Amino acid sequence: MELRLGCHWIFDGHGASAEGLGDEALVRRALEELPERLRLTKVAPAQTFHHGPPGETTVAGIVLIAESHFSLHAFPAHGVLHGDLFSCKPFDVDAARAYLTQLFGIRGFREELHERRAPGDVPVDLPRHGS
Amino acid sequence: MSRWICLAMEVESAEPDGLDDARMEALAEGVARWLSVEWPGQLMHRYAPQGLSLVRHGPTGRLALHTWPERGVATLDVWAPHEVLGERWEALAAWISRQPPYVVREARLHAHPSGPS
Repeated sequence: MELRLGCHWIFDGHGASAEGLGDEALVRRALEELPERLRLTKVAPAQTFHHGPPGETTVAGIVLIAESHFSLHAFPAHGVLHGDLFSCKPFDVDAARAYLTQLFGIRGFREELHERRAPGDVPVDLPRHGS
Repeated sequence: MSRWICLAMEVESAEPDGLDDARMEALAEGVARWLSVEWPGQLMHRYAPQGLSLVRHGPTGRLALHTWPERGVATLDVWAPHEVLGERWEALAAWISRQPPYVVREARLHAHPSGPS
């Protein structure tokens, strides 16, 4: 029996505003708001943190949702926003892309969408437990 | 700008308690030690009646682990700069498979394409 664990969207947004990407509060807002807009369920507040040396500082963050997780990693000096959203519940990728585009001024996306599965023979949906 | 990559793995446990909270925390710590990184930040959520989501993070990357103990399955994803993980991702998956009772059933590397190689 093959078990469907969920969909995993891995993306890069590029051409984004350096000011927005360097704003830790804005990154946190995205982590808090997007799951709600996609009708996913946060189970704890988002955490954000800085990486890198001065001049190359990046802002990263992650939020746990009942369906798995959503993470962002912003590179202001390069106008790039890395991220991923993994959810056992189907979600609207177009809506997620549009939200991030509007919030960070992203000009384009490169992305991959994968169905996460456990090995087996027969596909069966396997939801997470409730929070 | 470092090119960051994501290693996505599906992990099975041959023992019913192999995916319990303490052993998952130990596995996450083991991955950090294997990579020689420190991930001091942690988020954790326990599901009812079972199941765990665990995140470890730090300046050199992060790890997200989600378990389905009733099926003996977990997903384990590691993000790190290419210089930390890029040449060693298959070795990391092999190391996890040498930690009983775990077996990495699938491992895939996703390069964030916007960064330089």
